[in-house]
Amino acid sequence: MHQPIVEFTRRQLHSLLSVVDLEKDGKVVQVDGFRLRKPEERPNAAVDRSQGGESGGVSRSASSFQSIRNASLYEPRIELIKRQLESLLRVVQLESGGEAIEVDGFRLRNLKDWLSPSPCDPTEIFGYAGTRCNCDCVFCCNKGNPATLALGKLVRPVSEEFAEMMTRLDHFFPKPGYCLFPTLGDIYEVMIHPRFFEVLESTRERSAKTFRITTNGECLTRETISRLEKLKPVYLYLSLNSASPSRRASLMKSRDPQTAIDSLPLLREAGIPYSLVIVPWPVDSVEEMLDDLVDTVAYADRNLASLVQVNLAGYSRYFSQEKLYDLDEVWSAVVSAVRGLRETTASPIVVMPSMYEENTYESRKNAPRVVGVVRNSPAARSGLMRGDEIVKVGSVVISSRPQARGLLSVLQGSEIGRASLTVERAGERVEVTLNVEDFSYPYSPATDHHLGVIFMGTGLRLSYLESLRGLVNSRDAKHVLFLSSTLVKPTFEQLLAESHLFGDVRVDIGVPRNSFFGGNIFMGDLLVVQDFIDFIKEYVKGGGDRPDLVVIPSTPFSLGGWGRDLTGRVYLDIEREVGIPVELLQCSTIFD
Amino acid sequence: MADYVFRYKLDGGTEPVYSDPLLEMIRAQLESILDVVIPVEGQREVRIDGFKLLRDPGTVYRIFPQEKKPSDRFE
Repeated sequence: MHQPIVEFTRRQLHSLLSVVDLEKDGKVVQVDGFRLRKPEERPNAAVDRSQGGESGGVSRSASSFQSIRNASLYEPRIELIKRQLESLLRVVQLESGGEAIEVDGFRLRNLKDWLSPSPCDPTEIFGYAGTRCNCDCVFCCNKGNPATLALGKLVRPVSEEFAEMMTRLDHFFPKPGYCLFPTLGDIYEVMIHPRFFEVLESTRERSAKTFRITTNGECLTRETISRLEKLKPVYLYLSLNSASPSRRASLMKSRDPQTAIDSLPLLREAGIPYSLVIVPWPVDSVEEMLDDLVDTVAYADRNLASLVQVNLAGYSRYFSQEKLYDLDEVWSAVVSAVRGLRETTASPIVVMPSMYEENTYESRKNAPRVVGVVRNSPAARSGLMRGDEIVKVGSVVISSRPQARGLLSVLQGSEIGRASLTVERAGERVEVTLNVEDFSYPYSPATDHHLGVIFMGTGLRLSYLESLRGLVNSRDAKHVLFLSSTLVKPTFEQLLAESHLFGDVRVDIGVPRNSFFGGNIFMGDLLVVQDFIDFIKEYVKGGGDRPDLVVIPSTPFSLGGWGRDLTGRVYLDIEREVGIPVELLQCSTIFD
Repeated sequence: MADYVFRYKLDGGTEPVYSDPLLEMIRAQLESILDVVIPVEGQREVRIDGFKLLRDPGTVYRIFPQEKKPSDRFE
């Protein structure tokens, strides 16, 4: 076996060393040969890790180690290189000039080899500034992330973070649509990074796209807003949470709550549109939470918020082992309050996840119903109103929300200028005309979508059923287990019942538990490979007929495009463990 | 400014499945490759879970260890 193995190893090393350099103690080492190790020379699998973890143990001249767990999510070929090198190093001793050399790491040789297709959103550069926070929100979801998540954060000096962002910018090519693979982890507050504006200004030289910045608002002084104004188009997701200084201080451990609160009129003055984000959290009591929600929405409305986004909060078992509140009580109270607020508020209000509201209140899902219009948008100025259901765009009959959203997006980006919409309002058909050019603040075609029409989320595309049928055909399946989520299942069931594509196929819909995250999390996109495996095993063990195909929406595996869940584990492991073919149904997340 | 260096640590990897190191090397290499690609024959996807050595075609070796847990691979 030795001769073929030697040749195999030589070829492997040759190919690996064409894309990475090996290193020891932070310095590149040159490898020009190898020999097979004797049995007594073979290292154990658990090699000495005392030299530091993924982000430690480096010499001063080198940058920190990147996280392999994170790489496994976004660029698993790096993990592949690691695993291949480790398997080789168990059997061969590397040499340089005839002397044995040891290695403890590797580095990517030519970053241009690692470009990948990308929409090149500017966040792909400045998002890396979000490594620290100046608040400590009681509901911060980052606190609920387990250590095994691939989205951990590296602790590095500011200078290194800056160097990475500038290197990313050097490899940022919006026109052909390529940039370096991401390594984003938990994102905290980007605006407190000491070099944030330097990065932003350099990014503006490379991209005219809108800077969509999520911020807690602590840094939004007049001076900062003036700097942002020079970098327009800019859109802020301003996590205000409360317009009351004392409640904001209590919810977010904000040291300067007034700055964020006072920023709303300044943003309006600077012509920077923003979505005001509120995470209702039942501090003190549900009633106090709702009273504050009403006041905060009113404040946002007075200051022309483009959108008010109410995020329904959940928590994982890593966040709290104890039940902190009754989810249905809090969520339904918030949704009910929001529906009342829409009656008196000009700024549109959305609740996320929107399917919770849809499942609670809408007998017919996926409808192209308008839940609000952005002030001064073409939609608002056309007379389109909350509650309208779009039945036609031009002469095209509309049958679903994704179809309406898609057509409005096309219209917004087109040269047409005007378009007629037929809507159903209080049982009557009404025609309105949208003038694409007729708008003013806070609407902007650079920052808004759908000409200012706000829907109850994205909805489910009917084409997903056609794709599902394609998967069924490709596997010649007669019994399909489709794994959905509590939120999506009602809409999917409705689409399935209305479809004629599956008359000859049995489609069972299952909803796996979010056991990995636990707590009160019940989101499909937060399911991991093990959750799916556990569900399928239970399903089969429970006496149900064994399906001949399992289909899973791609969204829990779509963060890096390589079919990994949030722990970095590949979806193919599901099929390997349960022994039933598994296919991913390509689809988009239900979050806007 | 010189490019930021993307560095990754080698830490010995996971516990071997086979005690024969050369066999284990082949298994580990196949396992890591099959986490990144789906082999095809013509246009048809092929699922692979084992291999044979050319000199010993009577013996099949499994590629994937049983009951992989999410945290096993890195801890």
